Parts: sequence; C-alpha cells; structure tokens
Amino acid sequence: MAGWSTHKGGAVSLPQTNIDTDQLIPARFMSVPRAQGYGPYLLHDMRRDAAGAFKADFPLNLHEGASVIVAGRNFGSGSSREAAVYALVDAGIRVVIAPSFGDIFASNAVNNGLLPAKIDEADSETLAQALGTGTQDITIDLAGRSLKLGSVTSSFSLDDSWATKLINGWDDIDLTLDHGVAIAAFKNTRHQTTAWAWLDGPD
Amino acid sequence: MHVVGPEEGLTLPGLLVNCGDSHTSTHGAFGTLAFGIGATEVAHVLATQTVWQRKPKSMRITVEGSLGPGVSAKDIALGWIAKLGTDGAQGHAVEYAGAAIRGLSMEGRMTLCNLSIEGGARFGMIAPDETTFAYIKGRRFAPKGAAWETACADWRGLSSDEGAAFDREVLLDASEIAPTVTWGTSPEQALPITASLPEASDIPPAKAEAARAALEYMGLKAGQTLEGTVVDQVFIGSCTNGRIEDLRAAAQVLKGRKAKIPGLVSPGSAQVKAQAEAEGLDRIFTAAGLDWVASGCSMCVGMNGDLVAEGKRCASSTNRNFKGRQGRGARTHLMSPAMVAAAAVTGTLTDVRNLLEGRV
Repeated sequence: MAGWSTHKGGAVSLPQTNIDTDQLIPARFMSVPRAQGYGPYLLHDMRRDAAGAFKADFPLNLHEGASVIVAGRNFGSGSSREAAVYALVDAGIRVVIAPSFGDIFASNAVNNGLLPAKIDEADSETLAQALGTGTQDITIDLAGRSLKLGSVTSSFSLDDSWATKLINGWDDIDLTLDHGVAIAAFKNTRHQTTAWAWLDGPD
Repeated sequence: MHVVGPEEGLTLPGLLVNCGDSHTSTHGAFGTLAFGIGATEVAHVLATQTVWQRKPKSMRITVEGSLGPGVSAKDIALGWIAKLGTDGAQGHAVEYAGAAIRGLSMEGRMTLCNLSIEGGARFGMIAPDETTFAYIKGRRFAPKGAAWETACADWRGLSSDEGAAFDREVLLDASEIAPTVTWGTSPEQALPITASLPEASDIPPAKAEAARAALEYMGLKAGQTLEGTVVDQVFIGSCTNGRIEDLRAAAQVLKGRKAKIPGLVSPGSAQVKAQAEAEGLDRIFTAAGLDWVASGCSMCVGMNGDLVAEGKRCASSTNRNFKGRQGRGARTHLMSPAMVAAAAVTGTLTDVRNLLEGRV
C-alpha cells in the first residue's frame, strides 16, 4: 500500500449523521469479487433510484472525481465489513472528514490508506456550509493534521500510530512479525500459566 | 459463530476472541475480551495470532433492580442505546453490572453484549460468575477434570476490582424498563411500546433532521402511538436473538394462537434448531402460520435472499434497523422475540405484556 502525506482533491458534503456501513455498501453486493471494484456500490441505495440510475441531485453524482467527503457525526457506524472502506477507496475517495467515526470502520480505513479525519462539530458545519451542494478543492496535510478549503482552515485529530501507518503505507503484518520472538515467548508463558485455554480437541 | 462458539464451549472467560463481524462483542457475556475486526485485521490474526488494539476507555452500565414480566435483555440494550445514542459508547469498552445483569441467563447476557456495538462500543463484557460456569461446564470443548477446576479459579479473578474507577458510569433501574421498539432507522431511535412518536419540538435540533428523515422512510407520523402500527411481516432469529431461550419466549406468546401476518423463524444454529424441535417449539410456530427455516443470518442482513420488500414493515428480533438493511426500502422495527411474537398475533406493534396473562 502506497503511503501519502498530503492530498489535494475535490471535496463534497454529505451532511447526514450516522451514515452507517449498510448505507455505504448494502450487504447484497458483498459477494462480488473485489477485483471487479466496489466503487459502483458506494452508497448504492442513497445515490441511485430503484432502477439503478444515478439520482441527479446527489452530491457525489454531481461531482465526479471528488476524493474527499465531509460527513456528519458517527460516519461508518455499524458493521465490521471492510467492504464499506473498499467501496469508498474504489470510488476514488482518499479522505473522510467527520466529527466521529465508527471504531471498527476507522481501523479498517487506516488499513486501506483511507484517512478518517476527525474534526470539531463546529468546523464540520463550517466546511459543510462552505461546500453546500457544490465542490471545492481541499488540501489535507497528514503530518500537520491540518486541512484547508478556500479560506477555511481546520485541524483534525488522528492517532499517532495511524498517521505513521498512513504516511509510510506500512502493513501491520510486517511490523508484527518483527516482534516474532517476543510473541513466541508470551505464547509459551501462557501455555504454562493458562493450560486450560489451549484447545486439545474434544474428548 | 456468535451462537455456535458459546454452545460448543469454545468461548471461555479470559480469552481474546476476534471475528470479522461487529457482533463479536456477544462473547463478552462470558468475560471474554471479544471484538469485531475488519478483513485486513482478520488476515493479521491468522498470520500472527495477535492483533493491534488501542486501549479503549472504560464504561460501566449498572442495571439495578429486576426486570418485569415480558421485559428482556433486548429491552435493556435498546433502552441504554436510546438514552446514550448510537455513538454513546464509541471508543469505550463497556462492562454491564448490577443485580438485573446478574439475574440474566447466559442467553440474555449474550443478547445484551451483542448489541454493545449498536451503542458504538466495540466491547461489551460481563464478569463471569456461577451462571457462566454452569453454562460452560460439560460443553464439547470446555476444559475437563483438573483443568476445569484451574480454569474456574482463574475465571473467578476476572471481575473488576472493588472500587475500580471507570471513565464513565451509567446507572439504570430495571423496573423502569418497558418492552422497547425502534421507530426509526438507527437503534437509538427507540421508545417504550407505550409511547407516542416524538413531535419535532421534542427532538434536540442536532437530531431533528435525522428524525424527520427516519419518520418519512418508515412511513410514520410524528405524534402517533407506536402501539397499533400495522405490521406486514415478522422475523425471529439472528445472532442477537436466535437462541433457544429466545425461541421459547416467542413460542410462549404464540402457543395456541394464529399469526395474522406471515413471518420467518430462523434458529441461531443447527443445535438450537434440533433442541427447539425436540421441545416442540417448531410446531408452535408452524401451527401459528409462521415458516420454520434453516439456521443462519437470514432476514437480519438481507444477504441470502431473505428480503423484506420495499415499503413493507417488519417486526424483527434483529440488531439493525438501518435503511435498506433487510432489503431496499424495508422498514424494520427492532424488538425482543416475545414482542415480535406479539406483533405476529395482532398484526400490529403490540405490548406483549397484554398477551402474557396465564402464560408466565
């Protein structure tokens, strides 16, 4: 996964709160192979009519090529489905800015190079008002935890370890395998102290 | 997974349990550190047998007193989520404590812990006690012989310390909890069955637009009573409420009665299905006119073809009333299995307490 430290792209506002994982991608599309791309299913039922055609007035449909979403609080609440993140990433989204995120969604986002940028509710509203149903370029600086949209500037919060992962594009498995000796030692100790926890099969 | 793991004795106190499903918090009912992860993290667990996790904040929800007849763990869960919001416990691990929690069966505790994620908590936990041990003992993969005694001694040490400090404390009175039903498209949009839907003026400004949109999606009007709302179909099942005790609670209401509307009953596992059939519960459901189907996620998540049609209203014992969860345009009302059974009998949202006379 490629790391990144700054991003400049078009932002759109989805001011709804609680945009949950079932809205980000309904479960009925999750059996599609990832190689086909999940972009077409992003927010499927919100942005498409019953016949599957794009609704003309939905912000993401109005502004093709947008890469940043400014959303209401509790974005990505609900399921652990990483497909919700795949749908965003495959649709070209690099950053979601919101006052809060579902915990599992945020972890999944970082594991796929997508930034969950947490900002104050007031700053979120300022950005949403500045955007309305339109689009503007926004610049995001990961190291500085800051963003700029026209004359609006704001800081966002992000766990240090997550910023490091995003900037370097690091894979957790490689990082963890570096601790292999310590993990094996811990496992050995636990095998002695909690023998009951080790599955030797049914009687 | 969330039904089979415990019933096979694989879920044990003190273990770390991960699964690529947000309702993994279910296993916290055993004093297990259990939480849902995404697919990348699942690969990490399989490759390394470890998982990276930031230490969450701690929160204790204490429920004192005892639940009234017809009131269940589902109602405790919907009650606290309605009070604190779907992000009320975000970033927190929740411990459930108090007399009402101690009084719950393991099935009830699993329902409660399962729904933790609907209040934003990745973890929901209950300290293991004699109820826990009695449930585990003798199950297929549970420790046996001397290992059992050692395990129980270890597990008794897993309770929170006396006087432990939590980042947040919430206190609820079980006697004030009524059978609860969701009316909107978020689990926090829930009310006692006896309530009326909120008027715009009753809702804080920050939640007003979401409430308006939810009422429109659900085809409901501000101010109308919940009870009496006409329902098209019912669903009993899921990892939240598909266990044997859930099926017994629904059967208790349906026994000798006919459902006015169609519905599915899907047991939570093959073992639950076999046990229910041995107890004759399947025949109570089919005699009432409901379909007794195979175990699985079924209509909870609309993934295997068990869908609620657009605009149809479903009384459901599941965990999420999100827009489109049970099918595009589906209108989901979450409630306990007994409340779903009551809705089946009357064809409307109904207070199950009025159907329990002579049955509890």
